[in-house]
Amino acid sequence: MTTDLTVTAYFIYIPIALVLTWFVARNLFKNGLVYMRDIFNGREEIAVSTNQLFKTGFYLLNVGFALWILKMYQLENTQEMIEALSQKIGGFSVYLGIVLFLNLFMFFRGKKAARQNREAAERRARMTPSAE
Amino acid sequence: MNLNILAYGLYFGITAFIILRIGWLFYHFGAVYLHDLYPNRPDLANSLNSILLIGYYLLNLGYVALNLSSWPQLQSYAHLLALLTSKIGFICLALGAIHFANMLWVRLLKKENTINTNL
Repeated sequence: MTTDLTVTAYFIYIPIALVLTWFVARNLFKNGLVYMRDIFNGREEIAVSTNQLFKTGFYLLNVGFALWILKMYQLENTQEMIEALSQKIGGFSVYLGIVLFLNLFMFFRGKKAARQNREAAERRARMTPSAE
Repeated sequence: MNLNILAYGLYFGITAFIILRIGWLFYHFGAVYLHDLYPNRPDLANSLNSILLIGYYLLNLGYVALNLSSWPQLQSYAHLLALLTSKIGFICLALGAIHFANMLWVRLLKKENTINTNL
């Protein structure tokens, strides 16, 4: 009975965690492309590839973490299974949320640096003719 | 019927409804503020809005689910009701506090932005 419940819990946990990761990655990087285009000044190719590389890394990290924390102990009845499952899925979801906001923060940083570079270049361009 | 399982179902159903509904409201009405923050970049405002919505759902629903694992064994319906209402009340309070903090934040960002563009 106990092993059956544990296996059932694993089979509920794995699809939910994977679908959650897929959903978050898809939405985050669909919206992140806007930032990437900004950061790379509209150079489409490099923006798309950087976005794709970050997406791959995001999948690796989060799927890895989801599977790493899979192990559940001592499931005696349905109530304990629900508690263990909600703890795992809730914890994973909070973790995903934190990673999502870290990514967003990274996008902000990149955008700010790109803007400062652009402004510095404009200033240099304005300085050069007046110096001649 | 196990009282705990009943309580978990009620708790998750009610809080999920509140969180989903409020998230949608914020997404809908908050868009105006984000468009105000980035006046000539509607694409940026929209993508930021969607990322914020997903982050909000993940953190809040995740917290609610995480909270389920630490309930005591329920003995009676009175116990169930008392615990259920206090837990849901706490979630509502926390959401309200976060909401006002966010509104303050939006205002500060707007102020900073107008200073930056005036320079």
